[in-house]
Amino acid sequence: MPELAYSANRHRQELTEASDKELLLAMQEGDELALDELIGRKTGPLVQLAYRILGDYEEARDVVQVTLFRVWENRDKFNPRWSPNTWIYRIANNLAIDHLRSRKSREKTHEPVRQHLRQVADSRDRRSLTELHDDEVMEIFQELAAELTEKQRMVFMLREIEGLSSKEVGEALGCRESTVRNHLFNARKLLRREVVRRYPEYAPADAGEELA
Amino acid sequence: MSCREHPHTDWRALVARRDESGENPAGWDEAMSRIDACGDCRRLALMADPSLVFRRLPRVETGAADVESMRQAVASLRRASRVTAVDEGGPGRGVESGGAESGGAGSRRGDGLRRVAAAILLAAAGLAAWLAGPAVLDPANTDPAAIVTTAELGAVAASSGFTGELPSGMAPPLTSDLAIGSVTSRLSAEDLASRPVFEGLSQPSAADVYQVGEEDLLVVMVVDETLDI
Repeated sequence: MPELAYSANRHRQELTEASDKELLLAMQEGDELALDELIGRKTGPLVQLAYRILGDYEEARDVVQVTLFRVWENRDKFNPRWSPNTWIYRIANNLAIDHLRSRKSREKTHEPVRQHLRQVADSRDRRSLTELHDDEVMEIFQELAAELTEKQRMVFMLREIEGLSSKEVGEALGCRESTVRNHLFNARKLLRREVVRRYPEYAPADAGEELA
Repeated sequence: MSCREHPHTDWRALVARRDESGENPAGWDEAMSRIDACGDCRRLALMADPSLVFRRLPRVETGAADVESMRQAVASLRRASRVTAVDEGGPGRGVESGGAESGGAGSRRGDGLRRVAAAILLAAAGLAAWLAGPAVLDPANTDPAAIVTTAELGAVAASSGFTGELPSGMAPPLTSDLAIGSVTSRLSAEDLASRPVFEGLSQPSAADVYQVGEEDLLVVMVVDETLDI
C-alpha cells in the first residue's frame, strides 16, 4: 500500500492553527502554503485599511496585492521579536501613502467632490451629521483628511476607526505613544474645525459657536 | 450635555476627558455603544465632537472569492517577478521587489534561473525515463553518465516548489540510457545498484507525495492536486 509521505491538504489544515508569527517563520523556510494562509487572514483587514486611506476599492486591492507580495519577498527580513501585524501594517501603510502621493500629483484639487456635495446639499432640506449616508460620510472624510498630515491621517485611521491601541499604532508607524496621542489630538481638532467650516449645513447646531 | 434617557452620560465632559488624556476615558465604550441606538445621544455626541461622524465610514466586506482572487493576484506578481529576473539575465530582484526593500536572502539569488534549469533537467529526465520504459527501474542499469545525483534531485525538488520533508533515504538517482548534459554522477556502480529508483519531482503543483516499496525498490508518486484519484 502506498504510504502518504506528504499531503498539501493536511499541511494546509495544520497551518490554519498556526499563529501569524509561525506562518511568517514557515514562509522564511519557503513554505508557500503559509503565504496562502496569511493572505486568507490578512486580506480583509488590509483592504479595509487601504480603502480608508485611499477611498477607492480597486486601488485599495491593488495596494494590498503589492503589500502581500512584498511580505513574501521580504520574509527573510521579518524578525520574530516583532509583531507580525505591526510589520505587515507598516508595509501596507507605506505603500498606501506612496500611492496617495502619486495620486495627489495627478489630482491637484478635491474641488469636484466639494461641488458635488454642495449640489447634493442644496437639493435637499437642511440635514444634520446624524442623517448623512455612509457614502457621503466617506466623501467628506476623503476631502477633509487630505488636510491632515500623513501621520495624523494614519493615526486617526488606526486609532479611531480600526480601534488599535496607541501602543499598537506607535509600533505600526514607528513612533512613540506620546507622539501618537499628539497626532491624534491634532487630527481630531482639525477635522472638527473643518467639518463645521466647510459643511455648516451638516454641522450640529451649536458646534459652530463651540469651535469657532 | 446629556440625553434625557441617559442622564449619566455627559458627552461634552467625556470628549474633554478623552482629549486631555489621549485615551478613552471610563464610560466611553458604554457611551459609544449607545450612539447608534439613541438618537438624542447621537446628536449630542456629534455636537460635542463632530469628528465622531467618521466612525461611520463604510466597511468593505471581503468574502472567500475576494481572498482567492487575492491569492491568485499575489501568485501572478511572484511569477512575473521570477520571469523578469530570468529575462534580465541576473539573479535576484524582480519587478516588485525593486523598491526600497531588498529582494531577500542570498539563498534566493538566481532562483528563477535555477528553477528554469531544474524544470528543463527534470523534463529531460522524465522523457528519458519514459522512453526507456521498464529498464529505468532496473537497478542494474547504472551507466554513470546518465545519472542524476541525489543532491541534484534534492535541489530540483526544492526549486520546483516541493516543500515537504522527504523520508530518509529517499533521494536516489534516476537512471537512463540517455546522457543528461553535464549532470552526471560520481557514484560507484555499487552505490547505484543498492539505491532505489526515484522518478519525477518536477510538479510544482504537487499536492500529495506517496511512497511505496522496500529498500531495493522505492517508488515515490508526486500527485498533482488537480488529478482526481
